[in-house]
Amino acid sequence: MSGSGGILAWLARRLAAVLVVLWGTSLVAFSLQIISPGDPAELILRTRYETPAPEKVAQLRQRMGLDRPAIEQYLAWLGRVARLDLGRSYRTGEPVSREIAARLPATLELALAAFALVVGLSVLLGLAAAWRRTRWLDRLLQPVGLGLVSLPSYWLALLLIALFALDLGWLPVAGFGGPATLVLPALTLGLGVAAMQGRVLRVKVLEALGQDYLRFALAKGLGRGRIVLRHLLPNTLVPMITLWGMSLGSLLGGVVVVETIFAWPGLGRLLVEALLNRDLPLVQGVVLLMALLFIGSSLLADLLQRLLDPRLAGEGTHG
Amino acid sequence: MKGSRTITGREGRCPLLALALLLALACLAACAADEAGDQAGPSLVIGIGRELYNGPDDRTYLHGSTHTWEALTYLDQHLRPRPWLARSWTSSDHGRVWDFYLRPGVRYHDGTPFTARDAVFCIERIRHSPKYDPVDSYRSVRKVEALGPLHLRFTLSRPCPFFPALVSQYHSPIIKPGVVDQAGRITRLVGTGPYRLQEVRPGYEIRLEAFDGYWGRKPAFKRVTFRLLLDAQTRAMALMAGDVDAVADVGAILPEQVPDLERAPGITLKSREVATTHYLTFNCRRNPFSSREARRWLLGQIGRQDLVARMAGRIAIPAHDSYTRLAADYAYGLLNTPAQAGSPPQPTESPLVILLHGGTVQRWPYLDLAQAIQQLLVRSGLPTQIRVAEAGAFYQALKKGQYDLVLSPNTLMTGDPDFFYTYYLASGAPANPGWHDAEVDQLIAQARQEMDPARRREMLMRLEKIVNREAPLWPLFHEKALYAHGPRLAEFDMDYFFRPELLSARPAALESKP
Repeated sequence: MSGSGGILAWLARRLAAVLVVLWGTSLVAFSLQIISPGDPAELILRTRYETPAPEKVAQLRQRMGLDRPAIEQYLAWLGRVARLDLGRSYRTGEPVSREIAARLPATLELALAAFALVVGLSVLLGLAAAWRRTRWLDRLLQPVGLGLVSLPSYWLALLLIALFALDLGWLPVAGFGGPATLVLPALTLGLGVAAMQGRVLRVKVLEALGQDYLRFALAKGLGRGRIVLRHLLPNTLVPMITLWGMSLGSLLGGVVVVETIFAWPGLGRLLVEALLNRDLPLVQGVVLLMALLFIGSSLLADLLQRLLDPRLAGEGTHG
Repeated sequence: MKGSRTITGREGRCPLLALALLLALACLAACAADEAGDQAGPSLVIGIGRELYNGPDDRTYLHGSTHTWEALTYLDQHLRPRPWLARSWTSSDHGRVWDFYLRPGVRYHDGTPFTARDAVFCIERIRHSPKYDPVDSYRSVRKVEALGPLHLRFTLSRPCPFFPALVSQYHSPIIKPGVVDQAGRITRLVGTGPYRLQEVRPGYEIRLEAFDGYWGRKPAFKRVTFRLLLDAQTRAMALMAGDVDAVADVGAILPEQVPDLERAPGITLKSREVATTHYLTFNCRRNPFSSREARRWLLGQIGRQDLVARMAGRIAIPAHDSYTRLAADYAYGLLNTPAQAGSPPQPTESPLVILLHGGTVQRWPYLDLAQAIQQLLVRSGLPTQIRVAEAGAFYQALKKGQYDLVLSPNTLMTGDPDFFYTYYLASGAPANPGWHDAEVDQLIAQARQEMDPARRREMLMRLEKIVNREAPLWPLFHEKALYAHGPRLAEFDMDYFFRPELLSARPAALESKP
């Protein structure tokens, strides 16, 4: 089998696995909702902590189809999903697809901005720390990086807000729309991951700097820029691609806290609201999409790595 | 590695430079956005802690705080019904027939006139849907009809002395029938309020603009934005930074944030007594609090005045009525803490459980109150644990009686004590804590139908005396809600149902003009 044929076969197998994982995810999410305590119909009716009349709860349960067996509810939902119909939110009555479509761009914007920050900053930090291994910068970056990794995102967010919004007045405290509102959430989401990956890249760069090809390039008197662009980066960044791909998934997972603090109207907050309201169709829709994004980013990273690294491309025929 | 040492340069500054560039660009963008906003005219941005957008499958689409829709009546500061879209009302057939005469000249946001037929449609929409009337407010209504363009009649199966209060606010929101689909969902909000909906960005903000054709007093702000800031710290910091002009809503400002806000320059911190009362409810179905003596013993130990002052002083008024004392016609002040007496009940096999709703813990100092009660019980030899549960688990535990004590709020939405007694103390009431009393059932049923105000007040007073004696649940405090505004506002207040008073809000700039 040729190289491209091998990759296609590998891709087909991975896509089949994606469908199985998505089905499993939906089943787990549905089961968790079913076994969780509380009645979704009653929760919807308990606005302002008022106790609804029992007959009204019974009427709503019937309208929502909650009086049917759980397996029947799940199969009905699965049937609708197969027809690309995610149903309507129990709470708002809006189609789930519309609710998700309204929130997805915000989450993608935040996750991609944080991802760009992770990639850019981890490369810069990694290169700088490795090349100045014994200098002040490396000594400074080590504890700072460790601090950023260890700091809970809630506290990091509050610190950033206090500094850049309250003390300096450079940026808005929270909100959505325009680059100014994106900076603090993206920094909160990305700084810790960037610091961690910068440390990983530092090790990779240090390893590479000890290799003969780089010593030879240095001995030839090549310029720094040329060494970095032509020799160092291609050899150190390919292994980082998988790591970055996975970090995009973890960034998507981390948006829940960041979106809450920064009033960012994304999927993370939608999921939390849906879970608290026991809004099953909405939970299922968001979980499916999150799983798809997570798997998709990992898949893309794997694919990219295989395309960039000829040694891996040959593995397509083996699995 | 020698190679690493031979390469020296300025790479180390790159991350810092990149960050600085990013921040500078963002700041420029922020300034540009601010300028654009200023050019568009004065506007009001209010930070809130809960979503006011409820969606198409809701009674009102948007929360009442938005002032986008109106109802037949509203409740004044004494929780008495007052004319709103209904200009006046009369009752006949001993309170079984209620005629409402609607305000002329009221128009919807699209310019079409409001009529009694529209009101009939809106009431029918609500009363036939479990979702729009979960507490079954209209259970005694037999017929709603339009007898003229501005004449609405309700025919009831039994007398209802408080009917004008029952149809107040959320119970009779008027939405243009043409925007409601066959399933009862509101496709777009067209109401009659002083503000009309400009844009909803779910999970973020609601933008409103003043409605020029409004029948009543015109608001000073042409545009109002409600911005959802779920995190309490973020809300306070957004106010201090001037990102929002005011913060006002249920639990919008936490008591622990008061010192910071008091110190913040330009911030005006206010409080307002609201119609919400916070209760300690006993599980009367099981030991030890199935016994009246045990309940009264604990209340005597608690010493409500002191406990409330210590734990919730900034936001609390110790309660001496079963429901808000704002309901001036029915506030008797009869509930007095029992004197400390007797011995504690015998310990139970398993620890006592104080049950709390996770959502309430974030808004009110329930955890502090629960811990104080826990210490008191433990000191008296009654092991006690606190259980904080999310909504589903909380209500399930309530239903199954898996608690001994529970702290919870209630807002007297109709302004009438019937609302409280019907849902807490009547036998079979949805929130009854397992306590039954034949005399109470009889008094509740009689008071619900008694058309003579003096006799009705007497009945309700007798009910209060029974609550004072039996204490199946105990009001701990009436809430004083905290809210605040920044220097851009000259006048801003919140009403007794947590709604910002948009009609009276005024910008500081107008204040300084001659």
